[in-house]
Amino acid sequence: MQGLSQWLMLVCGLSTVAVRRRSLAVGLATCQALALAGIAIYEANTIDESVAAGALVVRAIALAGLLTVLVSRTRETIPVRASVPPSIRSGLAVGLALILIWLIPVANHSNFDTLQVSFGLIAFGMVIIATRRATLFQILGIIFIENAIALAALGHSSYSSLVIELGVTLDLALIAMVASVFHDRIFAEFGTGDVAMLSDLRD
Amino acid sequence: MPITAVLVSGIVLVVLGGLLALLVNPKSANYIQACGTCALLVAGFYSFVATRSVGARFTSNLHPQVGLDPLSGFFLALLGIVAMPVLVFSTGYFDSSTRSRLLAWLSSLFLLAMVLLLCARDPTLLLGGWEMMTLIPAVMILVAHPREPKASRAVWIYLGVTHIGGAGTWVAILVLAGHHALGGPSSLHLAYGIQVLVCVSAIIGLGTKAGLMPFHVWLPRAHPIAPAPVSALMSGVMIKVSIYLLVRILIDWLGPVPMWIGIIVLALGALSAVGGVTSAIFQHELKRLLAMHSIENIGIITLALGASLCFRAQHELVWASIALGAALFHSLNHAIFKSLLFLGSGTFEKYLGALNIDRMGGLLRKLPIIGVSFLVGSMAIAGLPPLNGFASEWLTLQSLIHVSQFGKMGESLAGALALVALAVTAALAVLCFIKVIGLVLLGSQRSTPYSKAMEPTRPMNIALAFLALCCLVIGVVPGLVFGYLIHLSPWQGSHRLSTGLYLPGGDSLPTLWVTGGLLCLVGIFYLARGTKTASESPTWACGQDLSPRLLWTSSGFSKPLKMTLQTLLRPSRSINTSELGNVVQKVTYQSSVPHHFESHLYAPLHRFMLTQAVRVRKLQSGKLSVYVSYLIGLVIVALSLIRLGVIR
Amino acid sequence: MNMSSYLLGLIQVFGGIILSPILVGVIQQLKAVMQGRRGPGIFQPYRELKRLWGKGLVNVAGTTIIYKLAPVISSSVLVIAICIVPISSRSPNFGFGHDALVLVGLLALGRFSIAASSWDTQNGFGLMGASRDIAISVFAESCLVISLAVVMLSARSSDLRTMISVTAGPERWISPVLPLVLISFTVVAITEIGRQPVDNPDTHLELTMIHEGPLLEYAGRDLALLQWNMAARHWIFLVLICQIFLPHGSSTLVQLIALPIVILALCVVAAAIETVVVKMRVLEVPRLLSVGTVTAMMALLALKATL
Repeated sequence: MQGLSQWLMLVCGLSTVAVRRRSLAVGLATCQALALAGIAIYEANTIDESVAAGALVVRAIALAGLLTVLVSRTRETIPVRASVPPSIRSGLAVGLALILIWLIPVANHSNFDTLQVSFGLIAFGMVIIATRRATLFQILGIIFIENAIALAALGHSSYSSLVIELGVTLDLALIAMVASVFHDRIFAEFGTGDVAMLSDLRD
Repeated sequence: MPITAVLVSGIVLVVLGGLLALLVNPKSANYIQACGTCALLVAGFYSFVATRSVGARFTSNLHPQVGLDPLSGFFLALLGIVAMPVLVFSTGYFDSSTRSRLLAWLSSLFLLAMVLLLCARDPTLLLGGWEMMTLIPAVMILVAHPREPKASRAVWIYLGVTHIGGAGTWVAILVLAGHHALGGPSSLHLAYGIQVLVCVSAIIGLGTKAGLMPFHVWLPRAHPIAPAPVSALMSGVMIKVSIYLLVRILIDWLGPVPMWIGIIVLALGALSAVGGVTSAIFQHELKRLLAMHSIENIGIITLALGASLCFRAQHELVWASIALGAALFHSLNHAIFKSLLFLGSGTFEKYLGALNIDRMGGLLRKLPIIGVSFLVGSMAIAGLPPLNGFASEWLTLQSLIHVSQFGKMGESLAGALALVALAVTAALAVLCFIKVIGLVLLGSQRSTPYSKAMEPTRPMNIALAFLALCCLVIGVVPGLVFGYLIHLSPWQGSHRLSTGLYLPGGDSLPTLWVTGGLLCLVGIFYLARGTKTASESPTWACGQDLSPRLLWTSSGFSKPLKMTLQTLLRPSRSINTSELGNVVQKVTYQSSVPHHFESHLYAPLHRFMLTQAVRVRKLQSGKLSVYVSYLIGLVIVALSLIRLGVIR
Repeated sequence: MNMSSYLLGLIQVFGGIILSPILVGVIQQLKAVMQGRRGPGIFQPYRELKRLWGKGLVNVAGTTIIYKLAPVISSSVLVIAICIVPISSRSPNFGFGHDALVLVGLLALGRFSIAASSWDTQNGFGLMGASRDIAISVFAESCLVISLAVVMLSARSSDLRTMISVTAGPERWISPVLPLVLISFTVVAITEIGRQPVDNPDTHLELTMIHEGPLLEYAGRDLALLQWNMAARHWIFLVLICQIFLPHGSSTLVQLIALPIVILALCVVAAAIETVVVKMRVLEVPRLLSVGTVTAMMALLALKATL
């Protein structure tokens, strides 16, 4: 069950790297967050862990709602195409994920595979931010990294890690919200969510 | 403990005075501050003379601790003896505007920062006091000259150079604290590499703050632009506190340093001394001249310090303590006469409006007390007997000769070169200050009367007279101060206390006898001169009237020197004649001696860094994706390093 | 103070104060003889001093007390310098010590006061002479200090009496140290005394004078004191050359007897140099003094090599 969810998260991540439509990407991100929440619920043993799992569920749903609202409010007049084609994007994502997994510091981890999944997700998140031009995807990339950290924290079955995970989750959720606000502002300013327009800010 | 009580009461009075100055009235508040500094002087002096320590000892951990030991006490006494007349002077110098109140409060903070640095016994307070001591004068300069681009530029350069160079101080103190050597060499014998690192970074960091060449660029910009009492405090005390830290690090905490470090210190001192005084000769603004001259005196102090380090490496501990005493003695003397000269220049500025020495003159008659004090200060700084400057220069000369005596061939050569540098410096200082005296005090008044001229008030006269008296007294009985200074070295020296200076080996400077002899003989010859005078006659100028166009200027007086040292100084010179039908109507002559360190060392460095910065700026593309790519790269590099085991 | 040191002290002070003008007179007379003139006689300086002593002073308009004090300070400084420079290694201590560096400092004070007087009167000739004098003294003082330092190093003391006794005897002249430092000290001595090739003591033209410049505004007893100053400098530097830098005996009697003979010989040499050598350009004098400094540094290296 756990392994399946982790593979689901990875597939969602890789698909988000490749897809073109923003609504589809939002759906995949929600899928991934729900999978994460599922893992948390499955592993919850104590009250605190259940609370943390519940928070993750709430977060998944809230982010889905917020991002859907964003997507519907900001219709791009011209399609924003990333400069890198989807196949190369996917290839980069997989390649980076493999490099990071290979470089994981070898230490006595009880859950090495969870760490691998986390690193893979981080790689996917970074590639999304680096290669895609729509602001929404930047937000999604950050959310992916946040999910990855949450997953890694879940792997550690200790009391303090859950509390940390909760705090980290809330912090990063706030950052995602701020990034959404910025997306709104950039749209209002430039008329499009194309991140490449920001290069005008360079003096 | 009486020392602690007096010290605390002094600090409280200074704080009170500062707050009072800010809130109520700076005049009376400055008096309160002066009383506070007097109490500090007493506390420091008592600790220094009675070799009594109070408070905590030095620690390397980061808990704030304060204490006072004889070396700190000596510098505290130095602070007190300079700050007291400076504060009394400010009572008469500043008016009651908001700016003056702010300046009075800031000067109390400045004094407190220096007291904190002197009494600090752990790294946090040392570094905290150091930073405060650096920042507060910058604030004071900006308060005194609001919205002036020249002032902000000077402050910018001051802060930049002292922080870049001053990183050395941070490195030195933190490395020492890291090795638990902040109390003394007995705690840990440091490895050779660590010792060298601490030495070099301390010399760079503290040398920048003290004004050693080639780190001195900030000094001629920052000191002249500050108001006169602030310049006096900066030049008199702030520089000496850097010397205090240098003495602590190099002599107290590190143990015997290798010989080549002593020779490098000697070389830096010689360079600063000769370079500083040569630059001072060609300045036309009085305060800038005095600022360059401070560089020279710091060079002399560093020469004595270098001699002490060389002696220690040669295992001649008696002479090492003598050389250290010479360095500290010259610090005290320089503090006194430099603040005297800066306060005098402040008075002249208020009286005449500007400080171009070619446009002053005749001030000995107009302002007698200030003029005589300025004369005494100039003679002291030129190193003329029987004043205090000569006593400390004599000690430094003796130390340098004995460096040659005890050393092998290379060290003797270094000592001999340092000796030549010091002799040249002394003669150049005589040239510089005879010119200053002649142009400023003597002769006829060359400037038009200033509309807002302020006559010196009584506090100003008293302050300057007090400092001149200190010069005289210390010059006549230097042995009383020097005898205690020898005890300040961590290896105990012994010196019998007498009024003159007596060194082992028979060399002596019997100051009382020389002063008494001079006074008696001057009296005898003055009486023998008689009073049979003809009537008053004008100066001989080949029968013409002595018009202002026939008067000598400062560039004229220093021209033989400039022409002799032409290849070194590379003065620039331009002559423009305007003719009308082959008849010359007007000739314009312009000459200047450029500041070579700025044009050859700092300007190319500056240009190089700007071009590199332009190149680095291309990394900022504005695209988020590029930044994330940098981040990915960084993460991969970090992980690989962890994987390879470089980072643990 | 026993009898002999009392006698030595008396001779030193008497010689320095009273007999020093004879040195100037001897050099002038020898120069005249060498140049085929009749000469004024060796007592001419005394006649000058007597004449000037009877005349009145000048009161220059616009001067302060510095103008009046300058010749007084300069003379007092030179009297103390005469007491400091010993004529033998057993000269008594007049209380001023016998330190060589104090001597250097006192000479600087004298130079300072004379230059201050020329600024006070604002006399153009005086200022020209003062500016050249002080610019040259920058180099002269370094040469002086380093030559004295070489002897101080071999004597291990800066006391002039110790320096005299240590450099006594013929064995010191086997190594090249003392001859080299003699050359450099002679250059300094010529500069300080104000003889050719550095300065022309006979002239009052502004192009050629260095020490004569500030004298132009003084008359009467002031001028007498200033002329005596020049004679006292002759005494000081000739005694120093004779008793330290030339071969001299170690016993007091030999030193005392040899002193006037050697000083006379030095006067002959000075007169010969003045007659034969052309006066240097003023800006070339620092070059000569730098040669002196380098010679003294070579002497120091030779000293360290032999030690």
